[in-house]
Amino acid sequence: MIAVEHVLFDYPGVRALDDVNFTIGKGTITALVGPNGAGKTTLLRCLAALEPPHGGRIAIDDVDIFDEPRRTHRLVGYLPDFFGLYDTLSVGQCLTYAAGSQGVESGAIEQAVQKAARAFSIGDLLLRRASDLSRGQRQRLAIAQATVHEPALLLLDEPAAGLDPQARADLSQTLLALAQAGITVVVSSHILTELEDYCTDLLIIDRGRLVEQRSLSATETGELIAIALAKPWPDLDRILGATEGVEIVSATPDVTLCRVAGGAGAAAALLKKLVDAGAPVTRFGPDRENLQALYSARVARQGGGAA
Amino acid sequence: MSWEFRRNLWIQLTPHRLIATSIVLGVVFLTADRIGALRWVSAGVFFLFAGFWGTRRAADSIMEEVIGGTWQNQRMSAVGAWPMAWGKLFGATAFAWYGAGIAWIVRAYADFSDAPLRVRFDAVEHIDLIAMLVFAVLAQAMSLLVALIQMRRRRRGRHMTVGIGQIAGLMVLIPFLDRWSSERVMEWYGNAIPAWSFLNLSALAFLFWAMVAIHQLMRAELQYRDMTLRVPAFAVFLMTYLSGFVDIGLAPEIYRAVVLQVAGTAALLLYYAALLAAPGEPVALLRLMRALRAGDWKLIGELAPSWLPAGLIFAAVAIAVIVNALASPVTLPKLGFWWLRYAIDSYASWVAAILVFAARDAGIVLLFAIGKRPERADVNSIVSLAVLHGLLPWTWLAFQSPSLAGLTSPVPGASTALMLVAALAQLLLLGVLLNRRLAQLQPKGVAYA
Repeated sequence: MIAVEHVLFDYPGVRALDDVNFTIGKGTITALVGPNGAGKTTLLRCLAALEPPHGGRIAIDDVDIFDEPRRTHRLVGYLPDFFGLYDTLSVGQCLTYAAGSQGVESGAIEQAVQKAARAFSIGDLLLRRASDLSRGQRQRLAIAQATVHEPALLLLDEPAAGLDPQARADLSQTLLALAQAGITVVVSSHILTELEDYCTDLLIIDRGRLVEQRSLSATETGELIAIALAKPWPDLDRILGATEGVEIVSATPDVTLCRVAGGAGAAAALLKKLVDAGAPVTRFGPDRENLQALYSARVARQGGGAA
Repeated sequence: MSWEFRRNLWIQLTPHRLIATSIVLGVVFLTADRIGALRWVSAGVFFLFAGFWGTRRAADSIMEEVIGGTWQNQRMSAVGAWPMAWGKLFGATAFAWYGAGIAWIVRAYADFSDAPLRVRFDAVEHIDLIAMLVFAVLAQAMSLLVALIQMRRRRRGRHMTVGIGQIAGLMVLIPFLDRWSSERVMEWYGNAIPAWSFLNLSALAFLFWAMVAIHQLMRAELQYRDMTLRVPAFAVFLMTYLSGFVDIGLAPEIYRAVVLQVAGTAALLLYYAALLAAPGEPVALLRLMRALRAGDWKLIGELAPSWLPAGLIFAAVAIAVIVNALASPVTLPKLGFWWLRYAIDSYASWVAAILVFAARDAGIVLLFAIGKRPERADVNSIVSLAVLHGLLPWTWLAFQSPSLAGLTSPVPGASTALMLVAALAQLLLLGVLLNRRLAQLQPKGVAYA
């Protein structure tokens, strides 16, 4: 879906993006994290074809953003960190304008507006002025505007900033629904614990360089499995270490994370082996890596700042 | 209908605004009719709405998007450059046009009622009504154009940007207001044309070019990639337009010399206007440098600032002036510039010095554009050029030192050879400074790609 090859971007005296390479698959939700000033917003603006890179190549769905920026815009929905709404228009007018200006056919605009309003739970606000909306409602309207033309790629820069817990939970659900509908999402955020809830992939960028790209749910080497025990059991590490295709990723007194190669069958076999050995297993199932720990370790290795 | 226009209509034409305006204007015009002042009151109200408020709205149409955080979405929308341009020009001013439209209809009614019966249906008698519309649209277009230029120069102060745009638009109206008492005849390429007709046709022509310029800037903002020929085309128009005012009764060699001088002056003015209007983006300059080093001519054509073709056209005309001056010397007084008789020792050298000083000035503007405070580049550039071409020469002339006055500006009085040497030395110095600054802009340890 996204192919970024050797991308360079300079500000006067500063290389904001330095030989950045990655690919992102369709239907994924990728967390873009990094310290302040790492180049996240610049990268998102390049992906949105708002800023052509000074070197390298970016393709969205095989469309080169430098050669065809206008065509790229049709494929992308972008919500900048500082977004604006037309406060004197109603929610319905905002969505209608967004759909029309994004090239939705006249006959399909009403349907697109209703669909977007339903998806972001603002269907009952269509007649209300944008200026009368709460922070969370404004955020939902802004994302609805960005997706009303059903882009293949949605770029969100700090979408959860300023939202209350309920609005953040709603945002998580919304993004998961978008990914299930086949939309690829890239989210830049500082709130790593929430990114864990819905992101499938991770990009860490630091001082313009990509320092980490990985899947958060599964890797080529196996599924991530969390094992929790009712009480400490000394044989756990030994059994896991002795089982072929199993690799311990992290271990705390409460949970041990391991990567299990071989799919669901291998995981079931491991569980049976542990139970047969008398392990007091209280939880055994797919899990995600701790994003905060992963980020801190990776950025600390690079000598960067906090998220 | 343009979605930009439609959105603006939703915002601008709210029912309570329309009703309140209709009532207020109705009272004003009824009162004016009662005291016998309907013609000038309606014209005044027209210019209050279409001129004063319309120019403000046109200039603000772009800045309110930038300040409001909606401009990025507009840049990414499917709305093309032309629908975006006219959608803003006529949409953002829709309410102003509502009030102006009422005033215009009242004015037309007053004109029609006052006209003698024999000319009541003669369209020529009512040409002022059309001229009011043309000048109002031209003023608004100029405001939008100036605001767009400032926005692209990253001026973010809304009030300042809108104010400058509005003033630029209102200045366009001055010739229109002046024409009420004008019954002169213009000579243009030897044709006698009533001044008011000429003014209207000129306004139409400049409105066309203002729209071309707005369209071009909008294309650049909306990420269209193209190599524009609009600046050279406008340069040709401007030179042709202004040359038309040269007296065709002059002897052929003098006529040729004067036409070349007028064309050169027009090209020089356009060059400086483009130079000061170009967005001074260090990053764009770095990309241009890379394209130059890579020999990517297509990219060079797309990235080249608009002052470059204007400068090349000026250089071509200046060279033509020099060649003409050397080939068929015309005594300076016959050119009609009396002060040249005493001040310029060599016309050809003087024009060459102007050419080199113009190149130096591009270096100064570029140096500020890629300096540490690019957001202040335009102010710093204007102040610097004012000092070099105004304050310093005047000071030296005041101290009876015309030779020193010619060191920074091609003012008459100095030796033209000295001017030329000084200009070349400054150009060289600026070349060194620019090269050093560009090297500083490159991220450490990274060579040009």
